[in-house]
Amino acid sequence: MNVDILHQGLFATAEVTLAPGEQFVSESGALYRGSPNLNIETSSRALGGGGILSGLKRAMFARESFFMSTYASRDGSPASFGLSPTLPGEMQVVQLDGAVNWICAGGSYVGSGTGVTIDTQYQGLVKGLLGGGNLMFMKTSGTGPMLVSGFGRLIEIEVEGSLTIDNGHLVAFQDSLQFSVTKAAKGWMASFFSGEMFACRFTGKGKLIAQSHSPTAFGGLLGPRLPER
Amino acid sequence: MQASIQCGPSFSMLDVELGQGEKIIAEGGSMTWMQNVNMTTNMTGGIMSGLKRAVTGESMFLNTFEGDAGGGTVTLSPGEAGDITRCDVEGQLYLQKGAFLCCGEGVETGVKFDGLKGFLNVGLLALEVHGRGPVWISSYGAIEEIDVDGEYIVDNGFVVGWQPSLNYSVYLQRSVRTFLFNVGFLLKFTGAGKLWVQSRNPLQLADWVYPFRPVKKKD
Repeated sequence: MNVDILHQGLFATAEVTLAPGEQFVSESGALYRGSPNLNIETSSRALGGGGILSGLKRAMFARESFFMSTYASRDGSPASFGLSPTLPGEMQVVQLDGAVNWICAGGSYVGSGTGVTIDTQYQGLVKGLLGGGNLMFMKTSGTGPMLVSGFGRLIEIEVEGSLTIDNGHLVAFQDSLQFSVTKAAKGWMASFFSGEMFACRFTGKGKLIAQSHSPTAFGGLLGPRLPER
Repeated sequence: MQASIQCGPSFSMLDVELGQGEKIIAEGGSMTWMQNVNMTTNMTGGIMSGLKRAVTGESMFLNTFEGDAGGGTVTLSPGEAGDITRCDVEGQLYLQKGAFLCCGEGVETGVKFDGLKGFLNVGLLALEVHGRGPVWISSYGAIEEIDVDGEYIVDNGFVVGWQPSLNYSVYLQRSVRTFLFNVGFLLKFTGAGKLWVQSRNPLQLADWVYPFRPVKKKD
């Protein structure tokens, strides 16, 4: 299995090449091109189990798609295909090593190889609603490549000690990090007037991926300028 | 005539140097700035051609830029952020709505009636360019040129253009479930020829923005 990022920058996509027998899973709408021997199975069930209920959880609470597609080669030759996210921005391949799990926030998960188990993880009401509006995050565990996308640039940060990040800029993090929702400044008044209000605070040691721009901030700029729905 | 792509690959513009009397024909509204160049506007090919172009999502009018004495430059930019690529046409080329940026003399634009299956691709009518010369096409996102030999699968929202030696049909998988639940339609191009795809789908972005719109108040 080979996962390459093409056109890295504003309009990055990922190209996946599968040897016969290998499988890859992605959100159902992410495929934009593929070789003719590509077999596509779409269902609410992802690799590692989970039926309709896990599809519902993904769609309603984790801002991911209800349906997942599983790709494989139909014949004995390698199959290749391209995956593209919705928003303009970079993509990154995260290699899971079996030791540390990664948690993807706010629809940043694009796809993953066989050997990576994906599941939704309940964040709790307070963390979920205040920390970006998603009650659930996507938890990925196991070994293999996992693809994330971001709005704008992706920045990998090594956290040691603590890091406070605006929830709109959070893409993914290792679960060796503890996470809590906190006020951005020292006092509540200052937090309120700073325009940041709630932020996510990570403590411990591990990696975190952030995005340079916040999709919800961009949507908030565009939305009011459009006709009512 | 010399053309170079500037500010690529994300915000590409086309810089065209025109010698005296040299011409380039561009999509209406794409001119960004020009120096020592004469612009004339016409419905190339007459009213019917203009109307047909309008139906395919291009502008009714095409602008012709001609270098003045001593030559000049014109810079063209497409509506969407993304890439520009040059295709040398010999014969015909089919394009998605809005993919046409400009062409050299010797190339003409027309319309291809794509029938009902066109609705599943770029629309009932596709833009058709024919003749002999260079054409510059633009995309939302990066452009990939794919040499199809046999078959290739593409999501309908990502098709930019294709050579007429390629035929397409809706790609039906053995699994009906896959067909029903996929967001877009997958198209299968067959034959031997070039196919251009873009790395983002503008409709997906529009769908993404939709929930941010204000909700209409009920009286």
